[in-house]
Amino acid sequence: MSEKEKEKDNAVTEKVVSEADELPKTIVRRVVKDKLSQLSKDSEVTVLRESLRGFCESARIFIHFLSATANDVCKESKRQIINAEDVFKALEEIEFAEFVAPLRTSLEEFRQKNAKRKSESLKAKETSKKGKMKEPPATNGSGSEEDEDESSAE
Amino acid sequence: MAEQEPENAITESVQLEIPTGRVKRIMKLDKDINKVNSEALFLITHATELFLQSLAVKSAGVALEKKRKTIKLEHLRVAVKRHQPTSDFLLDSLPMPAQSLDQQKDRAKSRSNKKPVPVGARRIDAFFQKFT
Repeated sequence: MSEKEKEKDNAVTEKVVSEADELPKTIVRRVVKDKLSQLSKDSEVTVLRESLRGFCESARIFIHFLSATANDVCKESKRQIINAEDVFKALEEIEFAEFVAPLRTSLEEFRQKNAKRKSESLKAKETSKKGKMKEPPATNGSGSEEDEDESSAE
Repeated sequence: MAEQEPENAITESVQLEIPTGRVKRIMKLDKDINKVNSEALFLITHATELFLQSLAVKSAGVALEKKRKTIKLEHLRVAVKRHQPTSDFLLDSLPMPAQSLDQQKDRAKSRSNKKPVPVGARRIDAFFQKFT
């Protein structure tokens, strides 16, 4: 463990971040190149390796900056868990308001997707419950039996 | 209703390239941050992608200005400088190009002569020195 700690110290002084605490380079490259090819399909723009490092670093620092700001917003509201609205307020604070509109749209889609997933898993649970109810009923009993009891009580 | 929709329609529009798990890991390096809900994590990840895309476009623009088809670190630096909100939090933290030491010394000199940051601007240098 001491070796790792030494590495960490070195990391602080040498300005090096371990790979697991960075964004995957291949993915950053893909995001950058996909966007560029979207713009001009004629000219092929290439990205130097050190520029890719620059993009990775920039994204990493953006994550820290945005999340720290969202965290401040969250704490100001005396809450513990950062939520979507905290992030939107943070974006405005750091002057990236142009991201808010597209993000609200994708958040809606994200919510719908999750709602659909939830309803699907609920259905799956219900069908498995029905399967279990074919066995001898427990104290609850099925609805029809209760009705019969009520009618006999009359 | 929506049940008839093929799942592809929904998944295509909300396709994130950056893995949220990695973003969460990076966020958690900040001891001040306790918990983040899944929506917020999704938004931060998506915002980072938007940021990368915006930075890519601006950097490519700088490269094209200089009649180049290759984005160099210097082009990225210029793009960052030109966009005030990005410059505020990023300019000092960009990695240095692997160029001549003389150029690096010149940059170090020009940095010490930089204008003071306007009142009220977030100073987070100390924060980043923790990680860099």
